[in-house]
Amino acid sequence: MGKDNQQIVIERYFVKLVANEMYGSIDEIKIDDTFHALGFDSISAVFFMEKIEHEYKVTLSPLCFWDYPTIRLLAGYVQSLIK
Amino acid sequence: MSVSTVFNLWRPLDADVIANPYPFYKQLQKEHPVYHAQTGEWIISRYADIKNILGDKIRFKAGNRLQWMKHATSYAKGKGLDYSNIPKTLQSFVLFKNPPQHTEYRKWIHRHWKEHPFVPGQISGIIEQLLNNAILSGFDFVSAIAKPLPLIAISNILGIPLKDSPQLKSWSYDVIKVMDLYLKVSDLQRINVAASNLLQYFTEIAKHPEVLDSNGIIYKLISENTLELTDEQLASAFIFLFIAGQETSAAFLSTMMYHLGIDKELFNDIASGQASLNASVNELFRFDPPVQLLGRINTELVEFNGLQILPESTFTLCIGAGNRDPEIYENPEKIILDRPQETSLAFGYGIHRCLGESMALDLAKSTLSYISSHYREIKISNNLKFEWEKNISIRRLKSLEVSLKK
Repeated sequence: MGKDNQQIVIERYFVKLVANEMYGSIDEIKIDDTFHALGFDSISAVFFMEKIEHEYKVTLSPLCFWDYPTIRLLAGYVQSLIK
Repeated sequence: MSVSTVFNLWRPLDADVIANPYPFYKQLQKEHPVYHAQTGEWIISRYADIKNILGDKIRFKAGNRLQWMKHATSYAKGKGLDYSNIPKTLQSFVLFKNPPQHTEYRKWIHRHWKEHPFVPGQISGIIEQLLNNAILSGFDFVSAIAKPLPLIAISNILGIPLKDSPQLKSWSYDVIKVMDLYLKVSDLQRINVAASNLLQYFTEIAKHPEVLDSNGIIYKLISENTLELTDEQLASAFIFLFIAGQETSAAFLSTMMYHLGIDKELFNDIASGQASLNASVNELFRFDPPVQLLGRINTELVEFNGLQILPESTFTLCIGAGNRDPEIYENPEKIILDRPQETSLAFGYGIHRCLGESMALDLAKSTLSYISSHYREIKISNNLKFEWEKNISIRRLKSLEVSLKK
């Protein structure tokens, strides 16, 4: 899978997680919206990050959530960690 | 798509910052002394601002950590996870209390704390014994001295059976992680297990104080339970004393020895009595304090550095940065043992100023005095590679291999 495709797959997974978390519809979630705008706070962030670590078998610093504050940015970062 | 380069000035978890946070503080203090971090917190790094915030009990309240833990626990409950032992364990931490409750708690504890029977003279005997057990040609100072010394001292002061202290210590090591700024689910799980064990142990003690040394503080606090706390609330208050009493002291002893080991001249100056022990230890506490970050929340709109900050914002105060503020200290990056002291922020300021300051100072002074009078040289054998705990809230080394030469 090309890098761009792989990133899109990760983004789709994040969108699903976000929709699940916020009880929203997948269509309303934009990958360039900030997590804050999507309704996350410092507590929901902790559990969101755990799901990602588990899914992709990566270790994420808790600050990644804030350093890569959108679905697109965080997916790009996670993709860069996957070998 | 390439990942955009992210640049945030607030990067307390980066390995280079964990190893040495001071260049990072210096940059913050110089460029953005009041910095709005990507996490939403306000990072404060100037001495005067930190002191103003800590001294202002009207506009700034403590306890944001407990609040966060309560919210996190109820959120986790919705996901079928039980972390309820964490807020239960933290409920009577005087550190998280605000007036008028804070005043009552502090008065209750302080009355007995200040009369504690542990005297500095006893400390050097313990250090001697601990050092006799260590192989002087190479040992881990952290596990041989820095951790057990404060543990023995606090167990004695509180009146807890010494045989229980190693187990309590390992739980306390996990629970102190609540002070970390950013936690993961795995941290919450670990903290909750340790919290549950500590809570159980100290609740039993609250129910059966007869197992304790009646000269210890806990026995007296139970006898004079003027606040009418429940057994669980009492347990929480004791857990606080136990943790606060040794984790920060253990942290400081490790960094103090680190500085003595890497700076031969410093060790010689101390050994030759260039400055009083008091002044030397105070300067080392300024230079590299164990508690690096403190949190507050503002109750009303406040203004700092021309920035208006909305009520209920989180403030993270960088104690280590304030202690090296060039506005206050000349040549702040240098250890000057006989420095005319502007009181440093190492023990906080205002109503939450550290209750255990005298104990921490006594432990540090006794250790410094014992080592500088019994040994000629400290040799660090970590190959100058040091492993720090991954957390800058409390700065401490995981281990420190040293050899002492007579």
